[in-house]
Amino acid sequence: MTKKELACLILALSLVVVKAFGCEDLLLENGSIIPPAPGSQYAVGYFHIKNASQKKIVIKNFSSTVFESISIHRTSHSHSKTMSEMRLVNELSILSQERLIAQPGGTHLMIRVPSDSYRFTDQHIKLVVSCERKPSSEMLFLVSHRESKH
Amino acid sequence: MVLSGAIKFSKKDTVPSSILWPNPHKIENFDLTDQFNKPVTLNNLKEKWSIVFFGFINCPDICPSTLQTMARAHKELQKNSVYSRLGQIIFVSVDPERDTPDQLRKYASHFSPDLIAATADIDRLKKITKTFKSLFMKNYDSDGSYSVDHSSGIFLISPEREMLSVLTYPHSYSAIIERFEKASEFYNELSP
Repeated sequence: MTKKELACLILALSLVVVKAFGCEDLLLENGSIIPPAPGSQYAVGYFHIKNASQKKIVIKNFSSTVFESISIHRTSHSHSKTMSEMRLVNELSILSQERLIAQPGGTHLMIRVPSDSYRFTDQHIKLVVSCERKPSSEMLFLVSHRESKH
Repeated sequence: MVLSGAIKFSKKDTVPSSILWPNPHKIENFDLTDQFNKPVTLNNLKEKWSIVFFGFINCPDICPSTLQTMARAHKELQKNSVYSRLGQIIFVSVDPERDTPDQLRKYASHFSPDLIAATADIDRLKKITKTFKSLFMKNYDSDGSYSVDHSSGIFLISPEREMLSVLTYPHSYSAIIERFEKASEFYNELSP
């Protein structure tokens, strides 16, 4: 192996290592955004994300050019499930080959829309997910409606 | 509907406590303002079956899903002869700073034209949450925004203004229907 080939190999390996820490190995399996009810400025986002890498990945935030802000929140239930508390979450960790499920009554994206009369015109909305290390990744969320649980 | 308190309590002993509270307490007076700027007080519960939830408009997760579930149950229960005459659904906002009657009007109509949405100042909200044996608490996040911790239960109130039952989260409309039907069947047995 020549010096040039060795340098290329080292560069390629280092890129693989960086990639493993970034968001590229996150697979969005089911992402939805539910528009806010009239009068509210907050839509909500739910998702199933799989970490397809061999390393833990830490999601730091979600962003979008469409919305004013997106923050990660978690609802928890206390006092024998009679009280609900919603708290800001700074990051989400997903272990290798594990799935993170954000669903009603638990982890969710709190999405501030530009105004309470904002209308969702597209069926899909692209969110950028940023992880502890670059690169970030784009994920396509489906705009959907809330369903009543039977 | 006229019920005899003495008979009622003897009958209630036969109802599983997992469904109805064995010793339901009377709701005390409260004073709210609804989405049409009309007062909502204890009188609004008189001779009605009331399904009540506390929350706030900017709660994006459990509040809209619970209200949608309540609205669905309310719609399905129109087939029930008792509920169609006496049933009502009520949303009490514990965020009066942001949830004005105008906002509440827009918000409530999204779920059901029948949904009563009401709020009040903090002192009056404390009064109603106390009589519902509930709590609410403003909580600031590190980014400066706030949310309000609140009850996630759905309260079932009898025509005698007694708190009969609380459904805990997660909610389903079939559970609300079932709970109401059991409670109303029991009360119907006591009707003259």
